[in-house]
Amino acid sequence: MTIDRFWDLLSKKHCGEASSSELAELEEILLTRPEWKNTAEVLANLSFQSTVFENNGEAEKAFEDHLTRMKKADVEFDEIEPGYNEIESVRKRRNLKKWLISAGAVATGLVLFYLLRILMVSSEMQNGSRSTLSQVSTKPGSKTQIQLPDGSVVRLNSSSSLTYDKNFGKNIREVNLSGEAFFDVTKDSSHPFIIHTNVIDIKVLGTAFNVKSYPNDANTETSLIRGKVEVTVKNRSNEKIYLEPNEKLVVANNNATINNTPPDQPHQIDNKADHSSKPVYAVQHLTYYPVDSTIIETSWVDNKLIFQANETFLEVALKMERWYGVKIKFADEEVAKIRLFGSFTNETIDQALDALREGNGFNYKISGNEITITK
Amino acid sequence: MLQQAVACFDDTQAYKKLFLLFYPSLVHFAVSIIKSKESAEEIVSDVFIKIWQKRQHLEKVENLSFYLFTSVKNRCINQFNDLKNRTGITITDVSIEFKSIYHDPEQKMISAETIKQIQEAIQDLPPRCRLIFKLVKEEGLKYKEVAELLQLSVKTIENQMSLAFKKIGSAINFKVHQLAVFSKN
Repeated sequence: MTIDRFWDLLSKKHCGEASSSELAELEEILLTRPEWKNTAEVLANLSFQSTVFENNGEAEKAFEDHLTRMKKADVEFDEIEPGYNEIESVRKRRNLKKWLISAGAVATGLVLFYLLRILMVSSEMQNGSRSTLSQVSTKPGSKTQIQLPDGSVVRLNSSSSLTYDKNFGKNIREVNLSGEAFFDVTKDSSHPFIIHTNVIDIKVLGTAFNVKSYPNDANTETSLIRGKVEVTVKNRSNEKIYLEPNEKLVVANNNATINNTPPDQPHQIDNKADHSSKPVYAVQHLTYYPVDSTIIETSWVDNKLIFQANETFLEVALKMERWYGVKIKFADEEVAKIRLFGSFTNETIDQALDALREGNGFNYKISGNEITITK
Repeated sequence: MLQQAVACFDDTQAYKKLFLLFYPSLVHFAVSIIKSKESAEEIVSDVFIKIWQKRQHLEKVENLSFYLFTSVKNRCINQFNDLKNRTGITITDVSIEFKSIYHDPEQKMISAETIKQIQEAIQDLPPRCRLIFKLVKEEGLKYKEVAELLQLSVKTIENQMSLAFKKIGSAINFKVHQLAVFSKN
């Protein structure tokens, strides 16, 4: 009987539903049953949250469909400009009348809005004084180019976002990246340029390099074209990895080991699987597309989508999803394992799929934004 | 907060965030009522269109998540009645996923193993119990609000939450035998 009462009271307490007498009763029970305390504490320290901010590809897609429906229903909606939206522009659109009517409420709203914004986009940003964040993001299928206040140029690939402080460049040049970007950093030895991603931090002075850090990819890749970069893998902050031009650093996003090791021998490989909490990394050479010697890692900048010979259709599909802004599903598991190679520039998704279909024995069906691959 | 941004600034970005934040849970919830993913997505989209059209009133909404869940429920019931001329909702086959469980990192005693056990315990809860647990713990709804939403009594919500805590608590390794013995009394 006591145990059931215990669960009643404990659940009420943790859902904010317990009265003060019920809280006292729970305390009393715990005094007589100290052995239940542990369980109570473990449950008290849990909180449940959905992870929509981390992996919201599906919801993003749903939002686009939602906008389409809104348009059809003739609902006026100042659509977020494709590929490029800055918080600044949103602020300009603020309703002036509201300011006059309820300036107080607006001020409160503004403060809360920015606080939340900061919570959401800048957990990594060390220098993030409030109300000064800019975010540039791209949708699937679109790319954009940003010039930062220091003159550095960032090309942002599809489904990516770059966040930086409005004070960028005053002390330290710092950005957060999710997705893929090509950086051409203006040289300024007194202000190092730092890129934060989920698993690595990259510190540079003046160079050109590519960073690929999609949350749903297996690896984070840093490919150096010229100059020098210093990479710190999170959880291994005492080790610094220096890259030379023509090298790339591959860091496993999860605790997985790195697969797809290219034929040329990696300089250094770390396979201590027992250190499971530390990301595994390897330094490899950049890969060239044999047909025209394009560097595959940065080919997206020139609007080229290249698949290496050792990539499975499943991996290729992920790239195509971002490239074309579509959703690809496999009706057949065997087809997902086919290894493909090829290069596309201006082809449409139909043309690309038709070309891949040649000699690879699969079929596809397009309905709206969704493509199903069958045998 | 986002709510205010949408209401005061006509902020399309905040509106998008709001959509992304609630969309998955609302669709899950709608599917548990009308059993069709397509209709569920349409209903949730309709609710969000209404939200945008009536954004000036958004500031006055006290508990947005309750408001959204209730709107979705009402639309589901309307559609359901149109289709089958039946009233009432039956909740079956709710697949609620708790994608992640956060815990205080200082609290060393919670191991990955324990987290796994908790997750399994949640998955093993009866569907209705799991839905109630999700609405309370993940969406932050009050017992009273969940009761109203699901047309159940507050007492039932209390019992279901108690059951959920019991199952999850018992799944945790510590003192599991002791608890099992006591619960038989």
